[in-house]
Amino acid sequence: MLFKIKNLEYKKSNKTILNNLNFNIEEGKHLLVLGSSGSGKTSLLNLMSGLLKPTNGEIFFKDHEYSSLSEEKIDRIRANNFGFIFQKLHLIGHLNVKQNIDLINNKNDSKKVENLIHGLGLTQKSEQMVSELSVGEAQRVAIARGLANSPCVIFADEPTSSLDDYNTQKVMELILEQTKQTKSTLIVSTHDKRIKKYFSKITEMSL
Amino acid sequence: MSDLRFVLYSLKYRFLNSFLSIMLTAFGVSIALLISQFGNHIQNRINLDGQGIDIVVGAKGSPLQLILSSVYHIDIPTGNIAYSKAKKIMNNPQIEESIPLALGDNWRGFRIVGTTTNYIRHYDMSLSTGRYWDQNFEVVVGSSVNLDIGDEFMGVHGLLEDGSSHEEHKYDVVGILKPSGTVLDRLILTSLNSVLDIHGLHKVDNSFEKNHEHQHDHEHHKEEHHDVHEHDHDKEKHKNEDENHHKHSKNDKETNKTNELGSSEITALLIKTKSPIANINLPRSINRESSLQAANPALEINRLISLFGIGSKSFAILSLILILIASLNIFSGLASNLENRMGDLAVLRAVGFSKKRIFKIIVLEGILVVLIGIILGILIGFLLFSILTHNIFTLQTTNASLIFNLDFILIILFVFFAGLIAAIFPAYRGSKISIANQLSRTI
Repeated sequence: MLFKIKNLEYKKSNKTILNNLNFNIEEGKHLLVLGSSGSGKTSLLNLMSGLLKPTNGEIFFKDHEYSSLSEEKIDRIRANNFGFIFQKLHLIGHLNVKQNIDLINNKNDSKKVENLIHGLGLTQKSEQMVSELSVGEAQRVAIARGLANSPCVIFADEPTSSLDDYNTQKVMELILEQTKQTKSTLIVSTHDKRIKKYFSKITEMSL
Repeated sequence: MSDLRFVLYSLKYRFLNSFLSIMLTAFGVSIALLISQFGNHIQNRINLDGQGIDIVVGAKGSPLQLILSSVYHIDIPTGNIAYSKAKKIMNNPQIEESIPLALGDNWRGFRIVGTTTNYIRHYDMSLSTGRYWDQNFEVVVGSSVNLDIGDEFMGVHGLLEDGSSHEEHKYDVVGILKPSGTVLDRLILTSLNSVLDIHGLHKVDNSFEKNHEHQHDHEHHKEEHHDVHEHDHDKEKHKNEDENHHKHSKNDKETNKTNELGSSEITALLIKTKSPIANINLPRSINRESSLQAANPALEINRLISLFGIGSKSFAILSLILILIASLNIFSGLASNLENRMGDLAVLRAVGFSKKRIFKIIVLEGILVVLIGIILGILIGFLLFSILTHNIFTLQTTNASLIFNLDFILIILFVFFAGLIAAIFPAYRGSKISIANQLSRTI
């Protein structure tokens, strides 16, 4: 089992965000966390990736329960196992395309970075500063960065919420193609129901 | 990507801010180094030039002026004193050594000093080439004076370059002193009589110069007859006195020829006493003498230092302020930049960069700025020091040179640690950010 979520509860400023959540995710399977804004889907992603600590309950990743691990061990789990694609991309402004991708490549696998750049059609842009890229190009860089450390889990937060149908399809196909190649698990949080069709396992969240 | 490369890209990206921090650190370091180096130079000069001189006797006036003009040769003398009166003091049993100085002329700004070879011996100096003066108008020059053996020159009246020349007499260079870092490096030394002669004053007995222990010349002899009880002479001295008396008689004819000359005068008398108690008693008794004043160099220089604030404490405080400004700039650069980079740091933390690594990256950025600033500051300091010492006559002639002393190392260490401390707070704050909050704030 890749993830096991047991009785998960999360409160923020005395407000219950998540309450008694239970589910499992097997390796190679994808999960869509669907819900409206403020339903707690981003909090769930943050809890699963160890960026937040639950108020109650347990989160197991490959049989490691987060609360029993030190912060440094959780950092290491993230560095070696997780990839992130943020809604607003969060590319590092002072680095170019290649450097942004290479930053996450903690295995120093330059071939992997080159392949990602080539695979995502960024070869011509690899030396360009990210601030000079178009939205579509920047999004591809963000996807490449999320895959640079060959993660077994990719967390994507609202990857398509600001895109039109055509680009939504393109981005989802791109991400799923990459996950297929790397045999990784994709966990997406979104309010965008257009992408439901790409997932077999969906957790719907409500306020 | 290595953390160093990440930091270098970051510094390059915010070039203007990094450049300003580096330059401010560099200027802080260079100014602190210059202040420290010149402070040390002045202190060394004060110590070296004033070594072994306990009392200076000269004409009434400012005691500080007397010290500056006679010991350090950087001011105009207070006036002249009668050689006969100086002789009385020279024979005081509390005095271990006394050196008469006669000033009044210069050559291209270098002072011509009529004195005895005891002046050279006092500073443990020796010749690099040539010999000491035997005759009047022969000179021995300090290492900074641009004259060679065999050169002839005319003295200019006064202590400034634009005075009138003494065209009737030419000085002849017979010796050059080794560099010593003392005031002698920038002086032209000659016999007392050369200076007296050129100014139309009675000469004094040369035997004084050749043997300090037997300093009984004509003037003194005359004085003895008038005031025998003032001096405590042993038998040997009486013998010498008699010899000098005979010598004087032989020279009577010659002396009569020079009756029109003024009585011998000198500018100052440098005195080394036999005991510290004499340093207190002797000036008191001399100052009672209406036309003479005795000043204590250590006392006057301390007064000068406290007046102008050139003491080591003032230097240290000024340097400290400069370094603190540089450190504050590093701090403000990193702290203000941190606000703009919170999102970046949150991303780094999210993808697995540990708190320690984030801390290290921000500190490394501060350290790089401060290290580049220090290196640049040392280079700028060297360059400014070199420019100043080549263009300022006093520094050139006093052989001001860079010294890698403890102060130098302390300044570097202080700047480094100040920069490090300035970087630690932003680094700590950066490492403690709430990743989820930062990402949700900017997502």
